[in-house]
Amino acid sequence: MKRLISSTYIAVILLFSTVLAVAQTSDYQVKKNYEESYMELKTAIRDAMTVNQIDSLTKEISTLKYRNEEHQELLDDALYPETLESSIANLQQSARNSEHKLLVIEDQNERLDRLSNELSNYKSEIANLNNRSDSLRNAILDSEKSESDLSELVKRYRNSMQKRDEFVLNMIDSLFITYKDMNGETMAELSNQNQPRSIQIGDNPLKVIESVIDENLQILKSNDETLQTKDYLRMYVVQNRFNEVWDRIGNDLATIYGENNSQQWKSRINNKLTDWKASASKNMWASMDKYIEQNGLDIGAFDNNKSFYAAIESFINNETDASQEKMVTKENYKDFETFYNFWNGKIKNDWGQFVQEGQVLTMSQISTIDTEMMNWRDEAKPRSFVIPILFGLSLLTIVGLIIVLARR
Amino acid sequence: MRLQRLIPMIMLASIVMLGTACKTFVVKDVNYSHQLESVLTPDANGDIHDVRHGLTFNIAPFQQQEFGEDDSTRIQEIRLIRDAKGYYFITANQFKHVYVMKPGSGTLKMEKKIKISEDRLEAPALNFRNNTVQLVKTETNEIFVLTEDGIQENKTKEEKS
Repeated sequence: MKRLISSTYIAVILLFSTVLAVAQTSDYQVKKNYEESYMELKTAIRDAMTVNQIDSLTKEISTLKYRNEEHQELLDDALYPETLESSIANLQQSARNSEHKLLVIEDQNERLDRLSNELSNYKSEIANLNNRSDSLRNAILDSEKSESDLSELVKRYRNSMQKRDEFVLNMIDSLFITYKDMNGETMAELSNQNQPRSIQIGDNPLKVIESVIDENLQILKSNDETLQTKDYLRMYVVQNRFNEVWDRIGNDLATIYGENNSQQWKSRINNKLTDWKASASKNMWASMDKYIEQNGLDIGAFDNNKSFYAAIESFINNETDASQEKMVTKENYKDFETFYNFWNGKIKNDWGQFVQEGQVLTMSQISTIDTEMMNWRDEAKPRSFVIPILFGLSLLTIVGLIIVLARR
Repeated sequence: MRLQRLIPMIMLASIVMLGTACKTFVVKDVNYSHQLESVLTPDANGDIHDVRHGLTFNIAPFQQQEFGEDDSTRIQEIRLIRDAKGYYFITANQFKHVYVMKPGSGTLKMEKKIKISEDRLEAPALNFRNNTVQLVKTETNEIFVLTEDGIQENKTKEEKS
């Protein structure tokens, strides 16, 4: 019975195949059908929005090839100078190109989603830290507590500011990592495809950047007495890094998120960054100057990297010359020790990371100053007369002994 | 004296040699066949341009032949294919015939007018299979094998032009 069913089934299939074989087709129609399917697939590949769509279109290309293999000779002639094989290969190549492009876009979408979440987290964390810093600052201002309690408050406040700056640096690094490779065609495509999604007010990186700049400007302009040189150096570094990243990705960010106002966004952020840079620089150099002065050193005036280096170099050269003139004095050596402590303890050690990152002094400048410091040390070191005296006494003793021996 | 006798012989030999040299140069076994029919839409003047095969002509004579002077039926598309010997087989929707045309110097001369059916063709198609031209009546699945002399299997349907 089973066999009978099976035979009947095969017979039906054969009969159906025969009917299909009997149905006469126009070769021209075969070519036309192929060309229509080809064009439909080509358009579908061009318009595909997801990798899944491309996968299904790739299967359709295989089906098209399979369906037309029996007409290969005819199609090779009809499609001249193409062939069935080459036209299918073209379609497959288009599908692969499209898939690659979509994968890049999907990957960038994922990165943007991640960044969007990160930005939200950073934003709320920075807001928390700002609140905490503000309340600590208010507590310091209103404090009637003992000196040790006040000192603890200041310490907590400075820690909170440091943490906040670290978050800002992390955020700007995340922005940079996400956007640094997005450019050209992909960027334009991304901008077009994701317009409705990416311009959500809350996640707009331009707004986050603007608010971070505003907050920093506010802190810097408040002339906070509790902040120290190290804090201002850190803020200077954060500003430098911000500027650097904006120079690299600002254009692309403004293109994607600025909608029709990309130019306005760009110039607004550029202006604010200039303001921030000026404030960060002014506060940092002023604080550095104050610190040096408080430590009894007078290295002269400076307000930027170049004049700071020139001031140090000139100070060391003058001190070295002075040491050469006053050979037998400990005063110069004391000056040397004070500067040495500032140079090695602060510039190279405590503030070293920020001095390098913010290019307050370059490595080559530091190395030159180190060499000049060694000269100064050699010149400033008080000379000891014990050895020459001992040497003289020894010499006299030897001469005396020789005379005594000679008389005998 | 002897030289005078030789001159006519030399001239005769020269003429024979010249004639041999000018004999027509012929390439044999040329295959003119199109593997696929061309389906062409006439422009406003009735001209069709087969860009692929470099052929242009006006369809008015076919219109006249098929529908007569007064009939206002317009040919929407014309279908043509060429066999190995170089004859063009031309037909269209609403035709009853396939026209076998022999190309000449700037001309297409009707070699045969093959009647396919009493009714007008609804969806004819020309294929080139097994080195022969076939007319397929796709509406009925009928196939007619055509030569420059007419339908190969049923010569009664032919109509001598």
